[in-house]
Amino acid sequence: MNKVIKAVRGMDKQMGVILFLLVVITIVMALDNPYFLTVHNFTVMAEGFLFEGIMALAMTLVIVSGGIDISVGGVFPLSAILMALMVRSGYNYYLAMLIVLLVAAMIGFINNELRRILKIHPMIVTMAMLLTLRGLNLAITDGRVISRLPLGFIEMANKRLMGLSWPMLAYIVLAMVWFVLSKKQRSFLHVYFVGGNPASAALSGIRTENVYRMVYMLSSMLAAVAGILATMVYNSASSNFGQGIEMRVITAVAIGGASLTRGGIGSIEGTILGSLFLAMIYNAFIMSGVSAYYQDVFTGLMLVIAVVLRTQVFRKE
Amino acid sequence: MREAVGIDKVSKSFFGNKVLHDVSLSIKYGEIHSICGENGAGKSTLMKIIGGIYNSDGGTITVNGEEASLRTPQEAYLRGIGIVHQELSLADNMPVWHNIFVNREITGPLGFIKRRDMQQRASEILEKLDMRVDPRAKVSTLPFATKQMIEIGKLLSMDVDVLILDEPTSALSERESQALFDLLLSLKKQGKAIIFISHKLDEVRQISDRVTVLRDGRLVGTLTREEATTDRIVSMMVGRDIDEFYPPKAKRRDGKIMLKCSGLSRKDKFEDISFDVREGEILGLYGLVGSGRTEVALSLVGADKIDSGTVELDGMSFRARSPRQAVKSGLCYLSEDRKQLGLFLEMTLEENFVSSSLERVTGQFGVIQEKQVKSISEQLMEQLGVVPKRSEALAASLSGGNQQKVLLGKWLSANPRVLIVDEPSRGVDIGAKSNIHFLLRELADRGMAILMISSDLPEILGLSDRVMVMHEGRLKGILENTDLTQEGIMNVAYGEVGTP
Repeated sequence: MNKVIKAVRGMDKQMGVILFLLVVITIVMALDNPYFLTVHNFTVMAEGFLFEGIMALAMTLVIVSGGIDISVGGVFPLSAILMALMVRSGYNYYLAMLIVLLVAAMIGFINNELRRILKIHPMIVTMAMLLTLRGLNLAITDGRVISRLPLGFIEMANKRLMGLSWPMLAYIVLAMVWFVLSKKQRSFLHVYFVGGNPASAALSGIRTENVYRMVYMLSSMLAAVAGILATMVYNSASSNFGQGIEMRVITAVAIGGASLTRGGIGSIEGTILGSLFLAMIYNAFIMSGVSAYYQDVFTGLMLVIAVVLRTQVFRKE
Repeated sequence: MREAVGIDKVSKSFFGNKVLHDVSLSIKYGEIHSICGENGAGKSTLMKIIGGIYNSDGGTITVNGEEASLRTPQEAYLRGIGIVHQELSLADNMPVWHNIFVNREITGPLGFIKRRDMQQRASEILEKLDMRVDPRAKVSTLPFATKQMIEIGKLLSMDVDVLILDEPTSALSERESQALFDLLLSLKKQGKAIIFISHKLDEVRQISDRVTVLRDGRLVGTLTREEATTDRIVSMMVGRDIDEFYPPKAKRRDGKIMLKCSGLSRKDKFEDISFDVREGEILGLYGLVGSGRTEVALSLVGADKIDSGTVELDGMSFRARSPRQAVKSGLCYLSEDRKQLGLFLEMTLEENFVSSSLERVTGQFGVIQEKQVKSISEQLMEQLGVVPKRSEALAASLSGGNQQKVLLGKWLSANPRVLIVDEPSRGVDIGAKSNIHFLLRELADRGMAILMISSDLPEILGLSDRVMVMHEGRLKGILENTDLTQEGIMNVAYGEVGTP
């Protein structure tokens, strides 16, 4: 018990608030609708936010480094489209996945090079990339949905491991790996130094440009993972996939306590909680029959509240 | 004693501007070697060359007798040289142990760090420095002096034998400074070479074995402990007699009282501050960072609250609720931080000049009258001697001294009756500094009342008609500036009671 109290005390206050709200919402929803607490609903709830959840992991690193990556909203559908196209043309599935990941890595690399060479804020660079990729996605697909994927692929995509779908499995593995790396891996920890004080990180001998390159490439690559999974879930791909997904991803990270204005602050466990929170909120909306149109109203509100919590209420020093 | 670092004919230019001319110097193990010089004399540049942050244009540096290439801080560390920077190089958001071991983490496979080992080693290092700090504490939760010690600990843990401290005491209290000096003396006994840069000559004299003076990028000379009197150091730094470096004192001392403060207090900032400034007079306010000097000024102009006390401006009771109101009433404040709080760096000189007096140049429908702007800025450029003489130049493109003149012009255009200047010559080269001093005197002679805040003792002594001394939020005394010495002021600042 003492240990629990100690853990709670040591916990980041914002995470405490989110955790508390999660519990409250769960109780309220469960009282309102007994179906809410079923395993099936929890699966539905999670699946609705897995793509965002996966992308939020890498976005956390970008935000901790003091930057932002809007272009994931273009990489996600592009990856789905490339995957679907290659699978339809008979590529080996795993080779196709590898190619998609390489393309995404390249996009992340270009994002970072533009930021570095042109000395433009990453917000602008990645926004330009987002617009470019959106156009590209439309051009490739001609605005049409790519479907009629080979049966073999559909079979593979629908397989389950220990009762878990591919996206669920991917999220659980990635979240665990990311959490451990963010606490223990040297390069991941250096992201915090670079975000906290870039000049001093450089003086300490950290190659800051390598750190920036890593976070932008990882961000694109996890967006590609989400895109590949989307192709598998929907057995199709379209340039309409993931409209506004970049904003939901950033919101999840912000709710998890990362600072959008100052680097060096944020955590993977916070982001996981933030994703869980948004997933539950969206599910609650559906369960209680409120129009889905209000979801984004709520998302916007949550973003403001999260930032206010971080900058005004739980400000340190 | 063995030579640690030999500097031979080192030069450095920035953008064609030569800031170091063939400087030669020898640093030995087991000594504390101070480097003195005015702002812009080249002290920091020289140290950054030794520390691998800048690369020299010419000359050689030897470490332990061998010629050494010091192109990055890492190469300097490898040679055993480390700098404790003015603005510390710690990441506030990270724990102490990780700051000590950053980029030198003890790692296992896959780059996984060994946290326990590093925490253990960190607490050993901290213990050696006699510090009681939890290595797991976040740096942001620690006071500045502790952070500085941690930075020193970080360097020592890298087996640094030559320690460079660039103005380490500028943000420390007296007691914290003493603790730092004790540490430096014990490191010296262990045989380390310590290079110490400070503006505070009393500190320099207290701890140095030798003192080297730089002026305008040239080496003036090196003094032994016995030779290094304050007068000698100052005259070497300035290169001429102080009297001719500063303008004459006030012509009239019987002007009417323009600003009168009684019993001003603001919680945790300053307490019971009373003083007055007359027309035609420069009142010097001496105090270090944290003495409450800038806080008093900010409160007077309405940027901060005043908890109690009264202010009279030109005989009328006055309490500014905003800087805007203060400016309108003829009370202007020139910030010590000209880049952040003073100038609009990305705007032109003329835009800067009129930025505090837009009413004067605004016509109907809020349209700015270009002609008016031109005439005001041309007059100010002339009066202040700003170089270059192009009012369309961006403020960012000017040198520090000229930026300071533009900042002065910005407030002059608002026609103040009382002018508060905060560190008017910080980061300004000697020529421009003297210019600014003569300008301030000229303004006073024309009837302005000037309160000049400064931590630069020669400046306080050279320019003020009276000197007001603050320390840790309290007024320690107001002294007539006749036969005043630096020691006299320091005694008042750190003594128990000031002489009235």
